[in-house]
Amino acid sequence: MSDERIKILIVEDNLYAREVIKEGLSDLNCSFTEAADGEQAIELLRRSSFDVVILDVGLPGRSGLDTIRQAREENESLPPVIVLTGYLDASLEKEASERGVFQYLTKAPLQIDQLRTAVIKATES
Amino acid sequence: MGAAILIVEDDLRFRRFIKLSLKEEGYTFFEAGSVEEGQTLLNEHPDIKVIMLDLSLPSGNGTDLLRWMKSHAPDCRVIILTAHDELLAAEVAKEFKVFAYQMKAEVKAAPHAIQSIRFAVEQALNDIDRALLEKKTHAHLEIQSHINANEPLDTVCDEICKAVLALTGGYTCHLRLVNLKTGTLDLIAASGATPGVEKVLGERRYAEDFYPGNYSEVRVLKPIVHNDLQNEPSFRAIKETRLQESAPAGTAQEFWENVQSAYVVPIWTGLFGIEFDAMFTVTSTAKSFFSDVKRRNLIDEFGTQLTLAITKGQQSAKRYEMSYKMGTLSGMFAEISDKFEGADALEQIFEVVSENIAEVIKPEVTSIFLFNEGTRRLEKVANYSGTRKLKDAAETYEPGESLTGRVFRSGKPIRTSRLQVDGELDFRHEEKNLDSVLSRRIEHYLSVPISFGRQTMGVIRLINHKSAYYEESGGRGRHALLRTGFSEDSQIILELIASYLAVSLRNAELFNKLNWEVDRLQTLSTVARTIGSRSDMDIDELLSLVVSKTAEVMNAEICLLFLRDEHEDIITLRQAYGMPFIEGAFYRLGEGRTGMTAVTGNSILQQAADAYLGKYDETIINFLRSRGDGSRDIKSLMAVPIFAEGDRNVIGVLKVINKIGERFQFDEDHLNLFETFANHIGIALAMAERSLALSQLVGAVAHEINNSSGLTPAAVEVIRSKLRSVEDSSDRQVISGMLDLLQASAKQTVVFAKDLLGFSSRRIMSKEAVDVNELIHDAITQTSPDMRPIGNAEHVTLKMEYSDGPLVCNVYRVPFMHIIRNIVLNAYQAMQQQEQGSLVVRTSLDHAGQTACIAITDTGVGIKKEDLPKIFRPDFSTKPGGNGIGLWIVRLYVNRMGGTISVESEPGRGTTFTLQFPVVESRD
Repeated sequence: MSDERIKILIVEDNLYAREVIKEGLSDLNCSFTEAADGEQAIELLRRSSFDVVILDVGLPGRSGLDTIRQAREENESLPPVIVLTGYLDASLEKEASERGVFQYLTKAPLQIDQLRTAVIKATES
Repeated sequence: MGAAILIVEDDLRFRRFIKLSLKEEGYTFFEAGSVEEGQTLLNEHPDIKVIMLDLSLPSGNGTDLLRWMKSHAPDCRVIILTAHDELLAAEVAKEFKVFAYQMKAEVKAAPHAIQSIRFAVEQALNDIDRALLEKKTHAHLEIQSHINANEPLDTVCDEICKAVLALTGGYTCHLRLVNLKTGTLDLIAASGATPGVEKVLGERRYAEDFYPGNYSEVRVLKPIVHNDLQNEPSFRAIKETRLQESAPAGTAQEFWENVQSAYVVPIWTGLFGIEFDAMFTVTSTAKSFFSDVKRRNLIDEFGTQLTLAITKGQQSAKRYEMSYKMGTLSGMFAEISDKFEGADALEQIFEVVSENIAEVIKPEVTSIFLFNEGTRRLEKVANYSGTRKLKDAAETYEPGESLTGRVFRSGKPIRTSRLQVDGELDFRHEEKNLDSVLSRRIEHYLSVPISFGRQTMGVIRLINHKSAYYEESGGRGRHALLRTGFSEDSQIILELIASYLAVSLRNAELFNKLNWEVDRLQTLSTVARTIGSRSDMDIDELLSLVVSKTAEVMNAEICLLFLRDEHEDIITLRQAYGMPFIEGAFYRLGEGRTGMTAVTGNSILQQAADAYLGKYDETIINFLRSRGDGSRDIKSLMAVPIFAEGDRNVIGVLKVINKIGERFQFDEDHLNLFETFANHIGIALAMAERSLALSQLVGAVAHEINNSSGLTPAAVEVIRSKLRSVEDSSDRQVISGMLDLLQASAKQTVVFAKDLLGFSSRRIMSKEAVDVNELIHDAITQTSPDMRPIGNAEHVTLKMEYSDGPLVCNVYRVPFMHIIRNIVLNAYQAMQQQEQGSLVVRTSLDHAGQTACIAITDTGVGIKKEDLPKIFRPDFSTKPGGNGIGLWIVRLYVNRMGGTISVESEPGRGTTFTLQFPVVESRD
């Protein structure tokens, strides 16, 4: 039986942020897997497949972008990545797009509408 | 030898009787039997002063002889011996001023008559002495009156010659004066029996070939007596030469044949530092004429008077010379004072000094030696022949070596000449360096030390003294070199010059040092400014700049920077300039001298003499030896503490090794500068570190706020969507109201966090030359979404007036946009309560084309006058719930970009913020 739900990996160290994201996207038909840091995320990406990755840039230890780089090295066909960041920086945005990031969204403030639209777009692509 | 008495008497027995009777008196008797014989004897013996004459002689009347004597021996005293009657003899005596007469008959008859003859002779001799004394006194008075009347020297000397001849009965008398220009002896007065004696003697003679006697004898300054010239070989040689020179012989021949004896008196005034000023010579046709001490004394007396006359004559010349010398010297001092500036200041000073020495003292060669601290030798730095610079080989002495080295070591002058040199004072060693001058050997030597206080810096050496009046074009080589050498006067003048030169050298040295310090201090302030303003660098870049600039400022080969580790009691090597970084190098506090500096805060200056080796010195020395150029060893080093701003806590140690340059040595003055420099570095480092820490802190805070507050709107939205299912509508309204409040405050926090983030270190990349018009446009356009919380945004007219051309300034792109955004938002907020507002953003270029002006004007509530000075303070805010940090950060960053911000405001009318930034040439 194949699961029709959208499988989302949330990589975010802030527990409350994960909860807000999960709640915000709860009206979509999706399942969530959570990782609190880059290492966990890489491990999960190795074992399971996901439709979308929502990734915070400012992670403890390995940074978000570094996590993508590492994961992409292991698996060419990485699911689309939506990057969330508290930073507002043109150069960071540029770097993110160079690493094949699907969308770059600000967390300051986090806008659920935008995130939802981005997730839908990512699953359709 | 007794007085000479001539007896003219044909009676042999009578002559014998007289001689026998006067035997005890010790007279020298000459006897003549006839008038002719008497004349011959008188001619041959000018010293005969008393004549006993028999009037009745077989060969002719005695009266004839008296007549002859009137012209040939006028000063002789005559005693008449007569057999005739008394009256006749008395008449004769009267006519010829005969001194006394005696009847021969009486003489023979009675013993008392002999007694009266004896008495008459004594009387005659006394009368001669008295007359001589009278004449001499008269002559002296006469001459003295000439001297007092300032008559020309040759006139006075002429008088003296005549008087000497008259009083001594000499043959010739003449005076030669040393010519200071030529070194020759020039005839200035001559008189004598022979007419034209001047021609015979020659007007101008060199000391060596001067008659009579030779130079070396006169040099000892004692009168010389020549008793038998015709038998002196040197005289005969001169005589022969002269007779050949002056054909036709005539007068000359007569002189050279007749002269038999001479008395030569050197005259010395002591005025010019020469052996003698004049030579006074009296000759006679009689042998041993000057063996008579009375006669010599008489000449000596006139010699004394000559000395007076010559002294007087030369004094005015001397006075002129001294005032000329002093005038020249003061001119020189003034000239030197003007020459402290410029790279070749010393060269110029040496030139002026040498020129003036050549003018005033007239040495053949002037050399200036200075002590070189590096080589520890006295080195010749200037060498002049007259005013001509000599290009000869280097000449150096160790302290104490040769005469010049001895002058340096002892600090005492040496003045000597070839004639005085003994084994100990040997200057022949220094003759090797005289290839470029005429004489090529040292006749005279004078060296004085160049001393300042107790410090002797060098030596001025003069070689070969030329005549004071020597003229470059004239003079015959060595004759123009006076034999005595440098006078005491010369030494005093040279010492004066040397002391002035010492002061000048010291001043020039100070001047150079001062210049150097001013130069260095300028560099220093530039460096400190650079470090303070380079906020775009990380701390290691900054430290690397510090060491390279330190090395540059201190002229150091190597510069090392140790910084205190916060957690451990060590100072760690953070940067190395001029050599490879030593990985993991550190000193414990108090370890070695460097570690000690970190504890005590005292500086270290180590020079070559110290043999101390630090912990890493071997590594450094190995490095120095391994490379091709520069020093091969640690020659000197300085280590100074870096203090934290405002206190005595050592935060690090800055160390320099080897000053670039020949000696690789640092000194106290360098250390002072280095300490000053380190102080500035400490302040700059503290400032840089603080601003770096601040921006890091701001970034971290903002990020944290962003992360947490950023969630609130999303969370509120989630709650809101869940709320729809809540039954109780009144509860729903309350909750919804609270959520609105929560959302609004969260958004405000996020806006503030964005501001802070805009200025935090992560944002700061580097300055770019950009058109600020474009940046302002982007900033204001991007601001509009944030206008939403401001109720009246749509009632505000926004007007943007940009300058015609681009305004290119060097700014940090993101912070610049945040600055504009911050001010614009403030303006909107100020107009929040108004129905209609106007916001004008105007940019322009000032008249000079140097500065970009950005004026942001609102028509808002304005700022109270008393608040105006406070608005840029971090703790000031008028907004409810505002934290005031906005404008404070704005100004911080405006200043960091080299700009200024000012504000004008009128409460109720509005506010204008004016920003000014320097424009850069062009964008590309």
